Amino acid sequence: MENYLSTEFARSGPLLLAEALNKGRYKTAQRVFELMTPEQVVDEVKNSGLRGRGGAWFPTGIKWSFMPKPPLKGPSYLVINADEGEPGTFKDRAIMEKDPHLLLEGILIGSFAIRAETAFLYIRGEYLTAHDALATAIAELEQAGFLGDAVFGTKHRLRIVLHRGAGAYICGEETALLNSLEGRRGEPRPKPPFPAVYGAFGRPTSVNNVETLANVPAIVEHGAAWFKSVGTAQAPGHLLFGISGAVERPGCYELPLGTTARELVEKHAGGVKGGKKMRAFIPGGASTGFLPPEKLDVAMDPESLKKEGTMLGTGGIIVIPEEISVVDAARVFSRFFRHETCGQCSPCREGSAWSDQVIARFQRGEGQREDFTLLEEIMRGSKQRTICVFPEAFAGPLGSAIKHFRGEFESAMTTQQAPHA
Amino acid sequence: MSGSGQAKAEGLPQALVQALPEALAAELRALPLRYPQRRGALLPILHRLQEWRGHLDPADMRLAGEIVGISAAEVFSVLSFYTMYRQRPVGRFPIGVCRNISCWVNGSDKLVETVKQELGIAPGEITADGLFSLQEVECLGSCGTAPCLEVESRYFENLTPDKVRALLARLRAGASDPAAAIRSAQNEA
Amino acid sequence: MPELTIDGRKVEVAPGTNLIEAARKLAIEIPYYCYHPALAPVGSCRMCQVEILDAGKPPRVTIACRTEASNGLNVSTTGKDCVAARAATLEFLLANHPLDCPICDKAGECDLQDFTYRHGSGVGRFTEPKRATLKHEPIGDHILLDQERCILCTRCVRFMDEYAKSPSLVVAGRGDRNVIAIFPGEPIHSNYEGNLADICPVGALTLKEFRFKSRVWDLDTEESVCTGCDRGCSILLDTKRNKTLRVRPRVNLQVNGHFICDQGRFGLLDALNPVGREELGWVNGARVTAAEAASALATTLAAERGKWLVLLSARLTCEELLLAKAALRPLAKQLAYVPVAAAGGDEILFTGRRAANQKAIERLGITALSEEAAANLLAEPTTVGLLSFDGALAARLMSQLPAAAKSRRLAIVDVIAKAVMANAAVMANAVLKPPHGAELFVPGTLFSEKDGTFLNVGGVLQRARRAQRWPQGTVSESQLLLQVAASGGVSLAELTAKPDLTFALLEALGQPGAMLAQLPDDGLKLAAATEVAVA
Repeated sequence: MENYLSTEFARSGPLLLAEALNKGRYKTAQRVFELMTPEQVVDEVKNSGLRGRGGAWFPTGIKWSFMPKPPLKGPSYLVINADEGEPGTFKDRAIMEKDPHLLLEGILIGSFAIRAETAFLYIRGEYLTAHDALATAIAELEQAGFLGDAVFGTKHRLRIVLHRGAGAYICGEETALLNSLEGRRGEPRPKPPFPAVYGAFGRPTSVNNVETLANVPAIVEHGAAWFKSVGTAQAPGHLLFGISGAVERPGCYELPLGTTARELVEKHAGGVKGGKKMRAFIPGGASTGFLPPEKLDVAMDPESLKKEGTMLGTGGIIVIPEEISVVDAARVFSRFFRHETCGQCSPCREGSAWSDQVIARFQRGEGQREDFTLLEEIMRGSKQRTICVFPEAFAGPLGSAIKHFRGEFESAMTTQQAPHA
Repeated sequence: MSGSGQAKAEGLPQALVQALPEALAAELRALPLRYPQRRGALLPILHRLQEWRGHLDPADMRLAGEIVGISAAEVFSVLSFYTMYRQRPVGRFPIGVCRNISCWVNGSDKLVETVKQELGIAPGEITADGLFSLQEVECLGSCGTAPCLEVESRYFENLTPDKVRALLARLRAGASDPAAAIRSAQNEA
Repeated sequence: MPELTIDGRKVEVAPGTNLIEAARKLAIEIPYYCYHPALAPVGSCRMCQVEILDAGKPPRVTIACRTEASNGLNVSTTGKDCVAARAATLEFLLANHPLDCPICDKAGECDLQDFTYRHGSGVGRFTEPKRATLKHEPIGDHILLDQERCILCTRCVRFMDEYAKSPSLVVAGRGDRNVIAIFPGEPIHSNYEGNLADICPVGALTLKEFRFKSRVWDLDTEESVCTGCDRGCSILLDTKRNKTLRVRPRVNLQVNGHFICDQGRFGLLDALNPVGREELGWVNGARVTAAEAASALATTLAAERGKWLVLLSARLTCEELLLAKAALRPLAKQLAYVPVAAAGGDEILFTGRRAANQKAIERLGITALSEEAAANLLAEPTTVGLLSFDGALAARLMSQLPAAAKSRRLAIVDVIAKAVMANAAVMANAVLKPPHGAELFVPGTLFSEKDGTFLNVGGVLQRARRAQRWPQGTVSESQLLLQVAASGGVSLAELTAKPDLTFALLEALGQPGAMLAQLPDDGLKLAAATEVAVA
């Protein structure tokens, strides 16, 4: 299977509409609007096994099938989650900056599938360059009649509202994003009700990630069978793997799901920078935590990583070189998660701050033996005990650091409490 | 205080609006119409006001609240949640150096050190001439092009201390028109 | 009606009831902070975690406040996972809490203290530096904010938004920098501010008026009724050494829900602690005991039968009004009252009609007179004087009299506090002169000094219990009225033969059957159609 997500990534600026049309873009969307029914689109995506690329890996077609069917009692919305903020993740940015029309064609088809006449594209505030590329591309579509009151000249209507966030990692959580879109604090909502019932502005809403929607035109064009021909049985298709940290050739690599971390790091990214040794790697963004180099042969798909006690997350691999201690790296994350928790639930607000304070002590060489139990209990007291899964996120690097690299923490304890030989 | 968002669409308090350029005032009035509920326009309105003033002061919060139909306290609550909104003046070139994992692994602390040395300011401070301010920020999504810093959400990537020094010099040279200076620095990078 | 099981006991509840309220029916405590029965549940404090037991599955820990009771649901509040989860939440909440209970006004009635005793661990493991934030910061006319004690349950935020309709209190910041805050420079401006101190489960929001006044366990508390307006909100009076130190709302879903207004709360605090109270009587410019003044009044009314205009006041209890009607109507030229109009009320609780028992006067069939009509009646040559149970009204009427009628005599039965007098000159004179220049002055009693009932604007009859002692030597209005009747030869046998005056009152209002002690805690709603049989 040829690459279908990253064909334009080598460009310096965004692919504009005229050139995109020359490459056959929007033919699929036009066919959808002119000839297909929403059910057919949903079925095709459902059959393809496409799962959400934002990190939760929920089947996209099933998510869409929760949306109301006629007779509709009011508007439904598509909300595009472009609030990419997971450290180690930069794939959505690449799509939006280089190939905004790939995403927009996915939005057209997705909106049609769930009968939405308005799509809100929520992009993180810092992605101003991507925002500008999208704004241009949306204007091009309006000009071309691909948006508006008669999409492709059909009776279908669609408008896309481009909306900038303002700096909050938690808004990547879909219900926090909806609150933020509504002009509120980005605090996740208790569920139920789920967005498909009560979403943006109280209306049924499907929230989909950028890369997920970027997969949709190809799936509808080539069919579910084509899509399933690569990747794993449970997670078919290509993924944009981001590889960063201490590697020779960091970047975004489009490869089938299930490719091993070793292939990604050693073959595609050229191995550890400067030929050094690897101390640890993070498989799929900050919240997936640390794995030791012995685990490099793990296949990068949700199921294989779950077996290793972690997650695929966003597929953003981060390589930590030998000269950096995992204690220091863990502190970067604990500080980050403390900074980013919304703070509404007591265990998460206090637990993220407390654990950061404890890790900071280890960093100063003031760790204590009891701190291991304490950190375990902070995680136990907050995981699955809050409105959203943020505690799972901060516990990812924390728990894995202690599990796989306990020795580094032990040598960062106060001397009088050093481990017995 | 809260009032009905619908009723206040047109009649914004003159005293609050008159300080704004006409085009900006018109844009702020139009923004709520893009959303099913006026409040949806709050974040974009705050972005616009901040671009204009450089930060957000209490009058801006009141105005934003009037436009979308919520209390100034609620505006304050919302904006204080988001790190991009600034409640205090910053430099004409506010520099944000990413301190998260991939940038840090690739030497972001050296970038901070370079800015500190070149400008004589620590994170949270503004230079005496008001040109630059510095802060450390969380992941900017530039992990594959680390280390990175941003100036008003424009990214400068694959940086080294030397590149940072050159960037600072270019920005300083274009201080009369910061937006243009940032753009041209980006083009040269 | 769903029937569910909690800790092995079955309970039936109304549809839509959450697990906290369902457990409450069984007297099982599920601790909570962010939940409040009168506010939308947000489910963020994570204190109310319980376990849902489902055969064949491991127990599922969830929050009780956002879980609706459903038929067949099996809930455990004692499973090890939820017990551990609650203890963990408490440890988190206490981590940055200053633990300054010895100097905190909330101590003794603090949910953080109480739940820690019952659901927490005896030891805290937090050894890091605690957050330092604002302490005792005024955020309104009455409330002080201590951000360090705050556990961010946001009850106060939701109260101001949802109930007081004044979203002036918010969460500012993010994560562990979150604080409760006002818009800089814009304090709370609301008639419902005082409730914040009640709904705050910890000592973060406290009353200026109660600051360092007492440990709560040293207070005596009685159930009462607010007389600030004719809403008649159910309240609690907290007293210490015969002083009312706090007025708090008492939950009464048929009157005031969970809250009261500041007009009532702080108005009562002043009214029930009258400064410079006139405790002695006056007769013809001479200070006498209250008993002597009462006797003089009784003698005068008997001697000058049919010549005095008598005006009752809505400050009196229903029982006093009933007694007054029986005792005074045969002796007065006219027994009447001047209705008080509503002014400055709000859409929430405060009606603006500062006449707590006006509904009772109406329904007892007492003649209503406008102020003008009352003044005209007083000016008639056949009227020798005015007996008023409202000193301020009496003063107004007397000042309206034409020159020819300036010789009308005045008798007042009321609570008079010098502090309410207009200026220093008046205060100085007050030492020498009887209140409002009355020929006869009998010091009255506060409603908090006696047991009785009030009938609110919605027709709910509620009991106000005695919470304070009246000054030594005081003759209460009831005693005075009995004396007046005796001296005037008016028989009260019809009333005194009843089990009690409340019983007689309810008979008079056409809804017989209960004595004072038998009234429900939330009052007795009288049928609206019941009309008074005017004797």
